[in-house]
Amino acid sequence: MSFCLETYLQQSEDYEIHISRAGFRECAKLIKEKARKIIYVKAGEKVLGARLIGIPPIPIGIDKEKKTVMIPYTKPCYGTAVVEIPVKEEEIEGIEKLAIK
Amino acid sequence: MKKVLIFLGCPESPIQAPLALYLSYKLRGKGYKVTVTANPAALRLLEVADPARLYLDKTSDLDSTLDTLSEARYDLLFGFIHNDAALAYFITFESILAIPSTAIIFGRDAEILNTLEKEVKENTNSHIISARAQHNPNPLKIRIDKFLDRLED
Repeated sequence: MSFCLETYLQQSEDYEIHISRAGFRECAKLIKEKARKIIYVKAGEKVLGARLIGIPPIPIGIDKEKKTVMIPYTKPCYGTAVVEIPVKEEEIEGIEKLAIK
Repeated sequence: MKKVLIFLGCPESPIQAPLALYLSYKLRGKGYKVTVTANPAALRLLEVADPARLYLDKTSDLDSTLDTLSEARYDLLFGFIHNDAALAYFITFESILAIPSTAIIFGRDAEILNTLEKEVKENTNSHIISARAQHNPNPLKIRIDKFLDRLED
């Protein structure tokens, strides 16, 4: 079964929130500063089973050693957060294929 | 029949729900098939205010609408934007749909309003309807009316 971000965030505690209730630009900046490797994707791209919301190009942080990805996560009443989630290697490979730069 | 998608932001602003009902009603009157998408709280406000569906047509949960969205699924997009999250959603909808769109930008704070307008201008090809408004829907209603008058039936 493929990874579902919404379900994962509801049912797991194994993720890190780097910032929450922030603006998208602030979150994008944080990802660029903290991530070991960054790729950029289009707005609305499906990543880990959910569409990424934001102002394109949307940065995704990738850490192949830790096997985590760092993504912006937006909800209408809560603003944007940056979450770092452990994922399988093949999920990272799938995300890298979505890169526009 | 042309299809319109209206996106609503967080329901904290008192003028969003009445203006959304008004816009939906006016667009239906012009022969458009209207879908309003928002989070559950924002949709409940509309549905409770319009039990007989005199103003609303279809309503759709934000997450499932986004999940199944594809290019040109609608003919026209409207978005109500009064904060950063709504801005991010609107730009995402516009990016996926690639159709003519209108951003309805409002709020109490002039500086935030300017930032939202600037971001919409820089990141979309949207028409902008904007007014400094928090409790009084009339400044935006007048601008919406003006825009709808020019919209083909």
